[in-house]
Amino acid sequence: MKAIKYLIFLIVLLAFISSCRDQYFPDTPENAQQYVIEGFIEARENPLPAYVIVTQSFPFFDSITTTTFEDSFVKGASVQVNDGDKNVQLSEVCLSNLPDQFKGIIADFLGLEVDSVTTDLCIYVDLFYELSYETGRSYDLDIMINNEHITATTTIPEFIPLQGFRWAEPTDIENDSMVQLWAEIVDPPTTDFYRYKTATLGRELTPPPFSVVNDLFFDDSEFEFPLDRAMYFDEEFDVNTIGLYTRGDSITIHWMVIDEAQFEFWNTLEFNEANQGPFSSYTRVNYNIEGGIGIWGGNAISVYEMVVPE
Amino acid sequence: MRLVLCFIFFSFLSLVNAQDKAETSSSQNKFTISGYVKEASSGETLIGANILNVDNTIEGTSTNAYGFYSLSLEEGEYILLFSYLGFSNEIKKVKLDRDIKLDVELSEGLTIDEVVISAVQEEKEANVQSTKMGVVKVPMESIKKLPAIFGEVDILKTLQLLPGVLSSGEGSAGFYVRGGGPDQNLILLDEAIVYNAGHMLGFFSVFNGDAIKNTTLIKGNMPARYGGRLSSVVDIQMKEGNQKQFAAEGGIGLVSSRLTLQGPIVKDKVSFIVSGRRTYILDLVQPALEGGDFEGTNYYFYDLNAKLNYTISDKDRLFLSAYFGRDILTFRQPVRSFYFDLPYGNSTATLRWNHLFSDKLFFNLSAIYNDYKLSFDGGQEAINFKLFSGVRDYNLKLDFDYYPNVYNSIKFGANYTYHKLTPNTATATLGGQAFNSGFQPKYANEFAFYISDEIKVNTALSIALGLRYSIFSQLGPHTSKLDAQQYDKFENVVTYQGLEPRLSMKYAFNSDFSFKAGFTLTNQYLHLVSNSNSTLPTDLWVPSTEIVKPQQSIQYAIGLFRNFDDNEYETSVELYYKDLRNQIDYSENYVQDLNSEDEDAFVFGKGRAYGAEFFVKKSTGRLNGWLGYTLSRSERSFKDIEDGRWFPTVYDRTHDLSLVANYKLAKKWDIGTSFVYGTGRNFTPYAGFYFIEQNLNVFYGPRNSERLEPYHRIDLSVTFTPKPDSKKAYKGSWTASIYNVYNRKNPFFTYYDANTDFSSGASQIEAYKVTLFPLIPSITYNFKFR
Repeated sequence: MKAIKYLIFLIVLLAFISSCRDQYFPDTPENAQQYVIEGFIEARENPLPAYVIVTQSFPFFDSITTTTFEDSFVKGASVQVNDGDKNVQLSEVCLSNLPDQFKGIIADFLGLEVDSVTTDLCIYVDLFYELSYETGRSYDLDIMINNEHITATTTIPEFIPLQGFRWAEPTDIENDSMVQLWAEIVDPPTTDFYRYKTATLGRELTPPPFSVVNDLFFDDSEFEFPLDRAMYFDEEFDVNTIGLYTRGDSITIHWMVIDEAQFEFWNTLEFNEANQGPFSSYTRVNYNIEGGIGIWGGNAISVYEMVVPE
Repeated sequence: MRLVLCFIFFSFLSLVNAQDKAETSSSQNKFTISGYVKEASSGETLIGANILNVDNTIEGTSTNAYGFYSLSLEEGEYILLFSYLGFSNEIKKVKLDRDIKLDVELSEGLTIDEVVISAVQEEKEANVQSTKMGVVKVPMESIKKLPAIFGEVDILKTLQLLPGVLSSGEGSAGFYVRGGGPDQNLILLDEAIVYNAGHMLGFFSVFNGDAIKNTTLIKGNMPARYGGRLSSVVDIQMKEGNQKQFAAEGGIGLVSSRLTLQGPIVKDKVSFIVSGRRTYILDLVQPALEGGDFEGTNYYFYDLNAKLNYTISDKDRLFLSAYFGRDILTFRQPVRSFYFDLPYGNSTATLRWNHLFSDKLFFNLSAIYNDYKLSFDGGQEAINFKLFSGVRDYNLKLDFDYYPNVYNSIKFGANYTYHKLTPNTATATLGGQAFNSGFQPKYANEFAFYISDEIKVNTALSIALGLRYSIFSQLGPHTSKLDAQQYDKFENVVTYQGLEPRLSMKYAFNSDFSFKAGFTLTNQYLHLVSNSNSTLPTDLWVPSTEIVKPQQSIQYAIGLFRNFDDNEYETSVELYYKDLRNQIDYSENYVQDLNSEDEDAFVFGKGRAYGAEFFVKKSTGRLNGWLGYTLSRSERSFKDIEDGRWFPTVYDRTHDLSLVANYKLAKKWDIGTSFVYGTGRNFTPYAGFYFIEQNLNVFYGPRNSERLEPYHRIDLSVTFTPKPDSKKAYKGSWTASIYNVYNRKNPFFTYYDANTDFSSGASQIEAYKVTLFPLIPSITYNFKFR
């Protein structure tokens, strides 16, 4: 009787396990290439200069090599930012034109580690800090590429810093080298939008899979929440340690207040990325770019550097 | 529209009037024969059994949903034929010189004599001679002979094999009818609405075949007594319980087992039926999970059907029926204390009282309760999250069936429902802090009044006229999103109403060839909008509100019905066109968010669906079955989606073909097979990809502008009955099934993945299709005891 039970189980298990996946080649719409904008301006102590990366999207089945990746960067565009007081033409900076000591700065913009940068990447930067980097100020972006006009507007909201942190032992975990971080915020009565990134294990800043949140659940209140460590794309997923920090690690947290348009962009982008599966539909991303796709975002950043207690 | 209403109104008046005049002139000579038609062995009433005057076949009627018939004829002697497909016929010689009550019992199986053969033909001619279009009655016994995945016989999956009915996905019990959405099907179990008819993400329906007596699908001209949905009605009646003797039946399968007990409490007066089904596949795995990462994780579903039937007198009957079903998903991950419980399911209860005011006037009063709820309770460490949503109805129905003469069959009644719809109400605790989404349930009143008459003008022409008037009011407590006005409990927020005319006619060129046409207008006040490619238990029903307007459908249909070879073969061609208004969808940038109500993310538009359905059926003989083919189109247009471009829906299938066959190989052996073919499902293609913050992201092309490859598969079943002629109380049979015989890799879903070579830095996006069910064998043992 026991054997029959196992047999039944095995047959059904076999049916489920034998579901299989195959690569397929769907048709893709023609002429779908788009200009992609990734630009940020921030307010904080010692802000990075405002920058804009202009690339072109890839056809769906294109293979990306270092050459095609490099080719996707748009050079020779006119990129201007108006901060309400003045109009500033951003300077085009390409890696090949820079001395080695500045390459690291550009790599930072791109979120790359400097050793891995082998291609000639170009970005548009407010090199001489001509813009005003202030909260409450709006910034208009204006780009001309081969007679194509791309525009966007963003605002840097007011700072809403984190009020404090505490470390907590995760429950039922055998690995005692990991620890959970909790953060506290006092949310003002306005409608606010937040985003954060963490830099851990001696690596660059990176956002978690769901990096944005609005305050509808905790508006105008004092609120404590777990601030999970963001995984790096090449890390192996481990359900037991996800979100936890390694004891003794030096970490940096960028806590950002963003405007609603930027929140909508990340919220739809991250939902679409996560929402793939048998029953899911698609989600179109809310870009705040006219004439292209991407994001032009203003960030009010509070920076926290700390060492995870041993 | 006004013209149609005027036409129906005046036609109705003039025809009833004409019949009344005819009636008055000879009423002193007319008498009525009435009663119930029942199954001989169990006393179960038979729905839709035919009663005919052999000498004049226009003088006939059929039993209603409770097995009642009434036939008024002039004084005289008659030979009346009582027939029901699959049962032997009864001939009754009746001297009608007074009103007569006559209950007739029919036995399963056919007898052979001349009159019976003609009666069977009459039964088979019903598809040609009735005014009904797009109506299919599916006997449970024929469903049980068809192959089924995991051996689980499923009514809704059988319906998907009919033309005009599409499956919502691989292995799914969900279905779409004539280009309509999944929420546009009215699914009734003993008159109670079943809001979620699926178990296990829709892979199984909630209907346990052993407890079901009859299933009728109406995909075309919806009679006036039905309303509230645009596309179809699936009307399912539970068995009433054996009135003659105690009986048990059941089955033991790979995934679930089931048991049904029924019998008389007082013979021929009070009977009961109790039926249960439960899955256990993950229960068997529990020992293997002990001590592992997922100890305590389990999933199962169960159904419980029960019914009590009390014949109080010749004029009064009482029924109490109930259904209770639950899916229980329990997830446990001891490490880091992650857990969640996800129970959901339906409960329904129906109390019905049948009363005969006279031989010609049948009355039914139904009090119905139904409840669908889903809850989620999960968390990890200091975090707990709870979610609840549901629909609850209290429903009162009055239905009258009036048979004034052989030419008219009039139905009228009223219906009242009080709805309570709870949106996703979330509460969370985080450490010592508590949060609440604060959404309040929505309340509504729904009224409907209807009248219909099926009129036999002459042997060639019959007309069915119907008119339904529906009123829907959203009630307080409510705070308006438009002007912030506060509404108190039961205070009217907004009211919608509308007349819903129904018209169908049949013109018979001869006894086996007819033309039919129909017009149906329906309003729908409750909506289920899904953001997925299929329906999920988490999808929400929402009422019509200040923001959400009622959906409306106008359907035009014509058809030719022709039987061949002495009615051995039934064939039909039906053409339909549906004009759909106030269609609802999510905006394209919808993100599931518990901070906002779903209706805030809706967009509204219009739709159209049209098609041709071809059907060939052979009901009798050693080889029987059907072939159905549908050529169709279903499209929607929303101002807020691609500026109103008409796009095909995900349930648009250009070609859909089903072949179903049963063959009696020998006395002990039955073979069943089915073949399905459908044009591939639409999807929204990836148009390209781009990098933001070093992450790869995709963007999409026009909505539903590409198709997956076609879907097709063959299923096969063999039933072995060791002792078919056994007179013993116990009978058993084995059914072996193979799902997807040639192991077709039908795509279940698709997704993309980035394939990166970190050493060279080269990257490529690849699209994958996932196939769910390969060839799946199964075996089930079924038994009966009486």
